[in-house]
Amino acid sequence: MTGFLIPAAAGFAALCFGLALICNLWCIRRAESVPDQILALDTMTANAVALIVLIGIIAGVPYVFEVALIFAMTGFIGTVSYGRYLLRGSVIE
Amino acid sequence: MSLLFDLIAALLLVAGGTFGLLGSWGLVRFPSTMTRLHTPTMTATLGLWGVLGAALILFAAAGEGAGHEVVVALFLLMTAPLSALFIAKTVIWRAQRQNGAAGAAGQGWSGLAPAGGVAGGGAEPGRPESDHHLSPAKHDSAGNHPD
Repeated sequence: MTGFLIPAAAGFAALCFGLALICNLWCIRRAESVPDQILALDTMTANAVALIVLIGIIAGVPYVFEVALIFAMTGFIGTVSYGRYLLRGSVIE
Repeated sequence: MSLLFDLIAALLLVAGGTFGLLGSWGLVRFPSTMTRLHTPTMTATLGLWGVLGAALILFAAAGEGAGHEVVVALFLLMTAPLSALFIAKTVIWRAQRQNGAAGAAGQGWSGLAPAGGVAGGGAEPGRPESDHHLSPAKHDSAGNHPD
């Protein structure tokens, strides 16, 4: 992965996902209800997974995909348990 | 051949980054929670797929591909609708509770009361209470059985 093209494109994508994370933080700060905040948090998880994969592309490390997978699982379980807590009042009945 | 792979991967990276940024920008721009639900579940997932496709191409071209990117992409494909579903259920439940139709657990779809007037998910604070939600013997017109 030498050359100029891939680091430039990956840097652009990392910049985009960093801006997306800032947008999500702004959404969490400004949200008028709790489901909005859960939604922004879920999007933050997806953007963080993309940033982890981009770190793997830039550094040339193929081991980050397990990290990305586990982070995506954690984010999904967090979103579902938070929604379930709001719906039922408890996570595990 | 390597240049071709690099070109395709760079194109996927740029498209993925743009889609990811658009997904989060839509989260800022859209007016209500139900409309805001669309951008992360579709656009941001597409952006993530672009990045994962670029990683797949690059690591396969470097001879280190193990298909882990496909696993991550499939996991996102499965979980993005589920989390959107849970958030939508939360929004509907809160709108119903604001309309005075709480306490309908065990009826309708997955613990929610049979849908009467929660169109669009927007909270309608001035909406008068109808006894449609509160009478347990009466089913809604969509034919949802209360089991």
